[in-house]
Amino acid sequence: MSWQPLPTGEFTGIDWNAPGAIDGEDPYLIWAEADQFAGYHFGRGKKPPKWLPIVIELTAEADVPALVAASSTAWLQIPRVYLNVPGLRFCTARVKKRFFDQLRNNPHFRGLILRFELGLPVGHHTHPLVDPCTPGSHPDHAPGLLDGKVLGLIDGGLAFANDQFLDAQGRTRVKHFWRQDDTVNGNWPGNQPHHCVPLDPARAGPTPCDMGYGHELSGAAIDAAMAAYTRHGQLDEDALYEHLQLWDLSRPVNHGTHVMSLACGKGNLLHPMDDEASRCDLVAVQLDWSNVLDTSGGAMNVSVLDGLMYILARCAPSAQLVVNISWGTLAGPHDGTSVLEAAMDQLVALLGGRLQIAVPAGNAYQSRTHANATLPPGGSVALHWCVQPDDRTESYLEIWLPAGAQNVRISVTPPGQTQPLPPMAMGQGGTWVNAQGSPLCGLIYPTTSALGSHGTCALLALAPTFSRRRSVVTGPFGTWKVVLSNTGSTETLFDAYIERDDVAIGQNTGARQSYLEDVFYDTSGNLGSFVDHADNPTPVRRSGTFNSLSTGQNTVSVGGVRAQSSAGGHFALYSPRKPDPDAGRPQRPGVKKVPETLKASDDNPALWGVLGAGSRSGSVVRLAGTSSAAPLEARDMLNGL
Amino acid sequence: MSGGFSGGFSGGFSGGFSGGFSGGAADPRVNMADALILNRAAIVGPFTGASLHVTEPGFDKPANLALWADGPRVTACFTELLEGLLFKSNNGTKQASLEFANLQSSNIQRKPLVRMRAPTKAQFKKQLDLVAAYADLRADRAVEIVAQMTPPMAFWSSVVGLTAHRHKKTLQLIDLVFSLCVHVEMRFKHIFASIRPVAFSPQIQPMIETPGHGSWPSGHATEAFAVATLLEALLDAVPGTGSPPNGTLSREQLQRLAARIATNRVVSGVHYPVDSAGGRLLGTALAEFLVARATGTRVHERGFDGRLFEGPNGEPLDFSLNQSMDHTSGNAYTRSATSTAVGNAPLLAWLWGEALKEWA
Repeated sequence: MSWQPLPTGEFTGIDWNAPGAIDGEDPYLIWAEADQFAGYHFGRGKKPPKWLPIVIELTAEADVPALVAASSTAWLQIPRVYLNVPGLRFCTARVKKRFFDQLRNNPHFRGLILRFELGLPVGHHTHPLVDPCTPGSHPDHAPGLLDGKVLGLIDGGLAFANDQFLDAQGRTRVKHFWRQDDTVNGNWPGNQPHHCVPLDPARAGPTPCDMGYGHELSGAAIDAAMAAYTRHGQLDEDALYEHLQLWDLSRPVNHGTHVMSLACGKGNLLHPMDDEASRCDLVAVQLDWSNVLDTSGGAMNVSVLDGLMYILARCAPSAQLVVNISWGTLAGPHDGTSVLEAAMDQLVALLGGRLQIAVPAGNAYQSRTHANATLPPGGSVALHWCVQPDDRTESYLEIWLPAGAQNVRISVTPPGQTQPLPPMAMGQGGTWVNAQGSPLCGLIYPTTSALGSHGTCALLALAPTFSRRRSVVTGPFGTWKVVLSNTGSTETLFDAYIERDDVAIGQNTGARQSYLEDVFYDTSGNLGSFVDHADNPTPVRRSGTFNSLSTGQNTVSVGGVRAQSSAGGHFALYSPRKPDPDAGRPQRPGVKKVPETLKASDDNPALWGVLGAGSRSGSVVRLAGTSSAAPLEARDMLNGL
Repeated sequence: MSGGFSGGFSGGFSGGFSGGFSGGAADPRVNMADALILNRAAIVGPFTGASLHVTEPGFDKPANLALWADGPRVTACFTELLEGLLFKSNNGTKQASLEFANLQSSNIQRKPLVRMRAPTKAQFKKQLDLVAAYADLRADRAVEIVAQMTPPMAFWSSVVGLTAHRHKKTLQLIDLVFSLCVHVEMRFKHIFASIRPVAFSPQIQPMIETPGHGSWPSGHATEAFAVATLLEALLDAVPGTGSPPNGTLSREQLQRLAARIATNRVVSGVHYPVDSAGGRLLGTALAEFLVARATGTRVHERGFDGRLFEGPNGEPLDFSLNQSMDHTSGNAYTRSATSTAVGNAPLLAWLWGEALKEWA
């Protein structure tokens, strides 16, 4: 058994096996090139994507106009909305192969870019943008800018015609609605349709020219459509959404609708809400279902940042804005230095108090997706990573090391093997392949990573364990043993995070969440077993399990508690706690593992979740998770403006 | 007798016959009896006397147990198991003990097997805080709690691979230890008459009906730890099982299951954690007694003093498998350093031997 060298990327042209090639890059891009974008439904025998979506952090001296001036829309396309905020050092883009040629050969261009991460290269995200930035182009000013207090929502399934979101005159309070998808019936990993039928702009609305993709509905357009489907004073919501090609909104339950009702709904007859949040204007961004269903790491970065920029672009400079993003992933640096978190932090700072962002603290506290331990000189820690059978999506483990951990070696033993693959040192990468030479596993262990600004991240990526299609390469399921050994003379430590890999409400992607197993981890479900204890030697820790897009400095992370506490405590079991029950544990610098604030996301120990709006007017559903806590905080923020 | 016989005979004959045709026979055995009567009458011919060779079973031979149906076999073994057990209580110290005397011996001596003392009422009231906290787990465990209201054989079977077709005698041994536990625990529950959680607060609101007997010690805990102890000992005694033997290798899972069953009763709101602790001690001791009777080995006297089951400042203690049961003194759980013989029980020994064969 041995590691095979990383390939020269078909898209990037980068020889990933060259010394230093993997350093400072996005390991997910490297892995995607190693398995020919199989995780994004390209793979063996299929054409690679034409364009890749990425999110870019610029160097301190650079800005978006400078980047545009130094490039061509033939190979780098940036949505025009990124011209709106002077001084912003972040943008999303779609890039062609020549982008990577320029990075190699054009020192001026290279000098503008600090780092970039791969987005989600599926469907229309691999197509060119409509009307991207060109050299000398100016910011667009969209019509109907909102002023005063405005609430922004970025989520899936935002049923804007629900009476929770109508004003006293029956008009929708969603004054701008942007859906990021482009085709009928969606397009996502694990469920790629054979025929992609574009949405009809006459029904779904035009593509917003400052975003370059998706479809937009103004409040007036929504009101007109609502009027057309109102008979005898009653709106036919099913027919309305059918007309607008928003088929998802006809489902009885939508995550985003529930969240939006908690942030700004009017309550119900028993508990009517009459606050500013129940009357304010709304801007809603409906994430692409390919995003909502995505199972891989960096995929939310482009869509969420674009969504945030859209919301800002629909508000006047004097507007006061609160945005709720009840979404998240599990793997990442957790010190606020992922590109998306850093971008949100800079946006909040640049807008000088006019923008606040609420994010959930995460729901994975009991999911065994995080490990943390000290590595003394000569010491080692073994992780047992259990990957489930019938997992039709890839699985990822990120191992984060602080600065000065260059003597940590990583050894991997696949399930069923008695001997480990050769231990890998920092700066190395490779794949473990099947008899046909297709990668079953990749370990990319650079000295620095684009995924975070401090220390480094080693990515262990695994092929799916099952597929009904012969062309999909599948790897073994079972327990992967990952041993971290400190061969140096100084103590260090690590955090390992498994990326989120579960199934969203009402979907069937074939994803199955992998988890860590350890003999000392308490799974008894007895009292006291739901938090970490300092005297328990297990490396698998609840503390530190945290939504990886809510560890920024300027965003507000919200944990979940029970509305009615009990003798057993008041925390929702799935939520990170405040204060941290195991706070004394050594941790990488800057890691956030405690929410800024807490809101009720469970009614009581027996009744998890809180009631909120179903998709159609008058319906009420119960959903559990810190996704419900964040909008309650957003509501307080808006009312407190 | 004669009236019953003739009534049954004529009624069965006519009723069964006509009922069979009209489609409404009450008891299927009557149909079969009718068939056998008709059949014999057709084939029997003149009676020729006792014509067959017969081996008479030996007098009071344990192996004769193989001849009996399951129910009578277990009943016969059970009377042997109970023989010589007696209860003593002391109103002054509020202690009670289960003692054993070998009644077959010419020199009858009583020897204590288990000494028990319940916690005080004040201790139970403190334990109520834990019961209230455990109520949080009710939604998690409702399915288990309801499934375990009757003897949870499926759970034990799942751990050690018990099957009805292969492990008949093992299941009868478990039946015996269950019966022993029920009889002994009911006397202790009666003696101590401990108050149930529901009586101390209207807010406990158990999720299942509170049983109609005293709280301490927990019967479920007693039975569960007895089964765990019995199975461990049985699997350890299988010849050629390897080293360490399979009982020892199964011990952690058996103990965890017993603890889970015990704690589920606390979660449901009908017991205190200290009830589980007392039951753990009692069940372990009773299984050890059964094994010693069946194998001719000795037991160590065990004790549980509920008044010592509390923290250093009188705070209520939760139940945990990590609490050692083997202190010689100064702890709620005690185990005597010296051992006691408990005589021979040939019927139990035979059943034990047969059960071992099922695991070979």
